[in-house]
This record gives sequence, structure tokens and C-alpha cells, in this order.
Amino acid sequence: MPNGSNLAPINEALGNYSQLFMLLSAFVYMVAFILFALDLAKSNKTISEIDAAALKRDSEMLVGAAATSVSAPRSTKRGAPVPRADNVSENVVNDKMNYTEHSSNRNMARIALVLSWLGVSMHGFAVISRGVAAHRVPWGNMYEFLSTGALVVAVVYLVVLFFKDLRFMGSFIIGLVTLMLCGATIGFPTPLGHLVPALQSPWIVIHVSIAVFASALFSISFAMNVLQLIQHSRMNKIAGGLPDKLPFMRLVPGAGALENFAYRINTIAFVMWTFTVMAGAIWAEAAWGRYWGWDPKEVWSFVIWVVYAGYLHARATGGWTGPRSAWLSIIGYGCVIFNFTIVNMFFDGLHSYAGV
Amino acid sequence: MEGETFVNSLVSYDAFTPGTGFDSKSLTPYSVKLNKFDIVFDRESKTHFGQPLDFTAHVETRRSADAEPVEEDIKVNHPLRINGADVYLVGNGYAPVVTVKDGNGDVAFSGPVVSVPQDSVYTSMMVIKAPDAKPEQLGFQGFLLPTALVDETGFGISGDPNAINPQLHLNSFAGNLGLDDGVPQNVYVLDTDNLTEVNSRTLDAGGIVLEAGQTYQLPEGKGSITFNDLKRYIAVDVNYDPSKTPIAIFAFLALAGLAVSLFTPRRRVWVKLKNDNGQRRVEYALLARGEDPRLERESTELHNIFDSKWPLASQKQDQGEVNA
Repeated sequence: MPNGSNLAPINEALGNYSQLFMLLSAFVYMVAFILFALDLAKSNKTISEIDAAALKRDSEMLVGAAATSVSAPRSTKRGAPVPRADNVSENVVNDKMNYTEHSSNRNMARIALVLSWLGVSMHGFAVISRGVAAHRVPWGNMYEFLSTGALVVAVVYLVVLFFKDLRFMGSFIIGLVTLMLCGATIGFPTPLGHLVPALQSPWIVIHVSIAVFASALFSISFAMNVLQLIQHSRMNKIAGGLPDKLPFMRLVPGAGALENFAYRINTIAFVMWTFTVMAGAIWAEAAWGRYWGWDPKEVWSFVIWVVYAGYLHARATGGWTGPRSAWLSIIGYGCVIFNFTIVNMFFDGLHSYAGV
Repeated sequence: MEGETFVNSLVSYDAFTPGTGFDSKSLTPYSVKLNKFDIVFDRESKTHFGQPLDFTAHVETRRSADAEPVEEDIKVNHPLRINGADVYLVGNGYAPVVTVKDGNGDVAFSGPVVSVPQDSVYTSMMVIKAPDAKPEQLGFQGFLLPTALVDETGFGISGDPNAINPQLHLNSFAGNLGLDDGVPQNVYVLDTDNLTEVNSRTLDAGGIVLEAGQTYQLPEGKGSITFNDLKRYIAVDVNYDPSKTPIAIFAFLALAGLAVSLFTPRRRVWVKLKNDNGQRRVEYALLARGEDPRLERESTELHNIFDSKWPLASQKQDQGEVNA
């Protein structure tokens, strides 16, 4: 064996392909990002199309309504929903984020979606080939952690899109993914290599993968909370009589709906983060002899846990809803970013591995 | 140190932190002998050349006083579990073996000296103290360079973590090491208050540079120092914590409880049946613990259940909003 150990040699050629596809997928994501943004920008046209179609359908229904006696429960309104301050109808944007009957085929969003899927497949190939080339899981250093995390964010978003109409978030999420890829490639480029002995453990598959997944989910809920804050302040301004400065936000659900959805994501991510911290403690016992040592990384993982626990608690017990809970969630995500960047690079501890 | 044996007794530990229930009789007798310590470095990668890939300590363990020695390995993520305790591989380095002769020609110190690595190429700091040297005590401080090279400024640096060309770069001191005061000293620090520097880069005598096997005669007949051999050593942590299992169980229970508390939907449902002029009137309401989007679907399901049992005569449904 060239390196004398029982580690299989690295496949450099495949590693180069991985890097190439990482770059290509970033380009594709960028185009998808622009198209999603265009889809939002064309909100005027979209909304008028949807409203026209809904009007047509309603008038057809009224004509035939006289003959019917019992309407199916599905179409009875549960009381009239409170109209939005910007007067966008339920047909355009469903507060439960389901696809409505009138969700038109927004063509820009369609193309953006196709491109996103293309980007995800190239991105997925890049991540998997990197793992295959190094004969290990592709999350052994910061570059790999970030690029795999970006992949998880994109995949989760695209899968959820099958069930919920989250097209309004498209530019935000794909933009976030592109940023993460750029951050990984420019900030922490790491050539393909073996794992340092401290990381050679089956726990890397469990602890780090759940950490990546939880971080990806936190990223998505962060995106929702930011949109929620924008929407909330916009609705307040409109209700107060000011002109609508962000017309594309009419395609975005109400602030309350965004917050509830973000809350559900945060609960799942929180349970996963709890497991991350626990699995990290078990791994620490196998490597360093103790469950918890107040290492900077451990401390900041705990800080993240406490902030999100506070967020969940404030919502459940304190009745904190609205912008306050959004800010808590955003602070939590800030801690996630801090934990991943500053603590890894500038704090001296057991988690500062060479080769970043 | 390679070749040395660690026996589980209080005196063998360099640092010991007991719990409150500890008694020195609690230490069960076992021994661990380091036969060899291997490091595998990455020689294949151009970008990570010299990165350590594997640390393995090949040891011989005896789990009781008259047990047969068993060969085992200790690695970074695979501690040695012995008699309920865990032995973790925590550090490693080089230990050059030196012989120091004093001014009278007698051997004042002979043996391996632990050197502390400072970087990834194992540039290691070391201190040698020879208190038995006569007429003056001798002390040395400096570096071990496993693969000694000279850089642009003429300074000696290490080029590789493997011991391809080991050299000792030392300054020497003579005088009073300060060990007779009864005050404990740091093994890795030389107290130069009562020592005069004999060898140093800045003095005429120059610094000491020893290649493997070389001997250096100290100026003014103060003695000599020989670089005999180079060994490796490992640093281990021994840990005994009987609370680990209960903690693991409770932590897992806490996680399960958390998941249940977050994901179990809580509902209150009221159903009222009234006799309204011969007609059966059903009133029902649902309440969730907070905002719960699934409530509406469950309300529809309830409606369907009631509808199938008591078909609707009229569509008089007075539905309030579902909110918290």
C-alpha cells in the first residue's frame, strides 16, 4: 500500500470530477435562483392570471349551484378566512401552503424547478463521488460539511415542494445553497484526503450526519422566519395605509402561516440537534474519556440547544408568537453559523482539526 | 515509553483526580506495557503529505497479578477497556535517550527524556536535568528535530515527523538546578536563576548540535552529553466512571420524552347531542394545545363520522374559526 496503512488509496481522478461537478452545480443553481426571483418579480401577472381563472370557475359554479343541495364538506368555508391586509385572495396563496386548485403553472418557477433538480443531481454526484473517491463519508472537514449540508437543504426543499407550495421560497433557498457552495469552495477549499485518526470512528457517520441534517433544517426554518419578519412588517405598513413597497411578497403566505411552518421544522431539527449533542458526547467518551468537557465546540452546541429550547418553550408556554419568536429562531441560527465558523477556526479546542 | 510498563497504582500516575468515594485500595491491579508505538503518516497525498493517518499503541496487558500477558492495541477512538477502567491514547512524542557525564567523568544522568512536540513535524522541546553531576549540577534545554534541516536563516527546523535525521539542538547550563530547596519544579522547565549558561548560540562556545550517536564535550571540562538513542512515548488518560451507564440510559429516556412531548398532538373534543324539536342536533368543538394545522382535517373527519351515522337534514352549520 502506498501509504503503509490499511486505508485504501485516494482516487484523485474521481476527486477532480467531484470538484468539477460542484462548480457546475453552483452555476446551475445560480440560474435557477435568478429564475425563482423572476417568478416572484412577475407576481403582478401571476396574481391577475390566478384571480381571473378563479373568477371564471366561481361563476361556472354559481350557474350550477342552484341544482345542488348538499355541497361536499371540502368546499365549505370554515367561516370566511380573515382577508390579508394586502387583499391577496386564498386562491393565490394558501395559508396552509397547499397547492390550490388555481395554483397556476407558473412557468418561470417551473423552469427554475427543473434547473434546481438538475443542479441537485450534479451536486449530489459531486458529494457522493467525493465520498467514494476517499472511501469514507463525505463529511470529514469543513468544506465537505458545508457542501453536504447545502445538498441536504436543497434536497429537503425540493422534496417538500411535492407536498407543499413553497415556490415562493425558491430564490431564498437556492440562493442560500449557492452561498453555502461558494463559501465552501472559496472559504475552506480542502483537497481530498484521508481522515485524521481522531475522526476515524463509526460515530462520524451518526453524529456528524445528524448534525448536518439538523443544520440544514435550521437553515430552512431560518429562511422562513426571515420571510415572516419581512411579511409581518409589510402587512403592518399596508394595514396602516402605506403603499406596498414589496409587491412580490403577495405570493408569500401570511406571517402566521410562515411562523407555524417554521415552528414545525424547528421541532424536528431540535430533536435531531439534541441527538447530535448526545451522540457527540458518546463519541467523546470513546475518544477522550469523558462525556462532556466544556470544549468550545461542545459549549456552543449547547448554546444552540438552549436558544432553540428557549424558542420552543416561549412558544408553547409563554405564548410567544410573531416577530419575537422569529427573532429567537434567527438568533439560534446565528449561533449555528457561529459554531460552524468562528468556533472551528478561531477557538482553540479539541474540535480544531488541521486541514480545516 | 516504549519498553516501559504502567502498573495501576497511585504512584504510577503523573496526575490523579479522585472522586469522593475513592480509596487507594479501589485500584485493581493491572499492568499495561508499551511494546511499540506506530504512527502511519500520509505519504501518498501531495496536499496532506505528512498528515498522521493512524496511531496505534501495541501493548501487553495483564489483567491481574498472575495473569498471562495479552497483546492488545490502543488507538485514538478505541480505548483499552481493562478491569472496568478505560485507557485512552491521548498524546505521543519522541523521547531521546541521552547520557550526561559530569566534570569528574562519572555518569550523572542516563536514560530517555520526554520531549514535548510543538507542531505537526514533531519539533519537540526538551529539558534535561542532571542534579547528580559534580562538581556542578548540569542542565540542558532545547529542541529535538526528528528530521533536521537548515532553513534560509541558518536556523535548524524539522522537515518531517519521521525520525529520518534526528538532531538535538541544546543550550547547556551549569550551577544549581534549584531542586534541593524542597519546592517542586516543573519537569519541562529549567529554572535558570542559579545557573550560568555554558552553551548557547549567543556565546563563543556556540550551541550544542548532536547527531545520533554523537558525543559533545562541554567546554571547561564540565562534562559531556551523548545522544544514544531515540524512543517514542505515548500519553494516556485512564478513566474510571461508574456513572456512565446510568447517564446513557437517562439521556436516552430524556430524548424519547422530548420527541413524544413535541410530536404527540393533544386534543380536546366536545360533542353535544341535543334534542331540537324532534331533530337531533350535534354540536362539536375541537381544541388543540396551540396552533395546530391538523385540527381542521380532524374536524372534517369528525364531521364525516357524524354524517355517516346521522345523515344531515340541513346544512345549518355555524362554524366558528379554529384558533388558539
